[in-house]
Amino acid sequence: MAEQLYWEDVQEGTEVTPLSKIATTEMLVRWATAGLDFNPLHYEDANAKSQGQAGVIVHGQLKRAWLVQLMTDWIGEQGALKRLSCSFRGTDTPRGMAMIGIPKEGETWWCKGSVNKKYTEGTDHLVECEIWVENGQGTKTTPGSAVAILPSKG
Amino acid sequence: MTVEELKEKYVGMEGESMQMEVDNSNIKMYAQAVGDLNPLFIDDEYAAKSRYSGLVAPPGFWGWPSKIGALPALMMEFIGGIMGAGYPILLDGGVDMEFERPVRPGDKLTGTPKIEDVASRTNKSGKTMVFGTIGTTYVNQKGEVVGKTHNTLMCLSL
Repeated sequence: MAEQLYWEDVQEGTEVTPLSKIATTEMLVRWATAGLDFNPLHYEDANAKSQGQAGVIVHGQLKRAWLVQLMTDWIGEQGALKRLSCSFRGTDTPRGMAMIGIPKEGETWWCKGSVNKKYTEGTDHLVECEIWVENGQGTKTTPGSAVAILPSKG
Repeated sequence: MTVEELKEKYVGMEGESMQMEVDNSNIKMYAQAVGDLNPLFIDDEYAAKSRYSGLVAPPGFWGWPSKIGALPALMMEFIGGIMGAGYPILLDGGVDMEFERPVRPGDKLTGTPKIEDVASRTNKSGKTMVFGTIGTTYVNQKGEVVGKTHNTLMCLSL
């Protein structure tokens, strides 16, 4: 794991270390099973088309879980995530699979963020970040925000 | 039913509690589905030496829809009510999660849902979008709140 981040290391405007993700139909199947979300919108093209989509789309809650990972990777073991919210503004289409375990060529997503505010509350040292998921075209499909406690060097 | 009537009918309505048992394998399965290989979530030996003294679940592991087994009855009724009022296209609008305590294997969580809000907005193409928000508080077997979620469902007219 990366070296521990401290509250003193960040300023307003500091970038949250970006995290790349490749959404695939396989990942959607795994997520459906792990999260027990069996909405056919996420595994059956015909159903997705009947709901006005071009084909199956990535679960919003999976993108939320990516954003949680963006934050937990960045704040490290000594940090604690307090709050995270996001809006599912744009839909994302997963890559298909070329064969078992191998995705087709295509889009790569990035989870990114930056520090909006740094403050203390009692003995807690906190940061508030703007975070988002952007698609291969750089469009933010899932904007959000997060609050985390970071350890302090004292 | 108008948006005002939906609001009148549903806001404040509480659902039955949902139970969820947490174990190593469902935490690992969740982390792998996300592609999150943080050793705190998947490596027992590493996690045992960490500040948590054992495996923990990724924040939000307990949130809807994970591990509840099916959409809670309250959510089904709420969705049905909004869709039946003329907004048949359902999308996940967003989520706001508060994390209060770590969740560990062996925990037994109880989530109690309550309808918090119904609101509407007209989008750029002139369609009405109805937003319904359900709040759920998750409590562990010791009666401690581990977290809260506020899920917003978005329903559109055709």
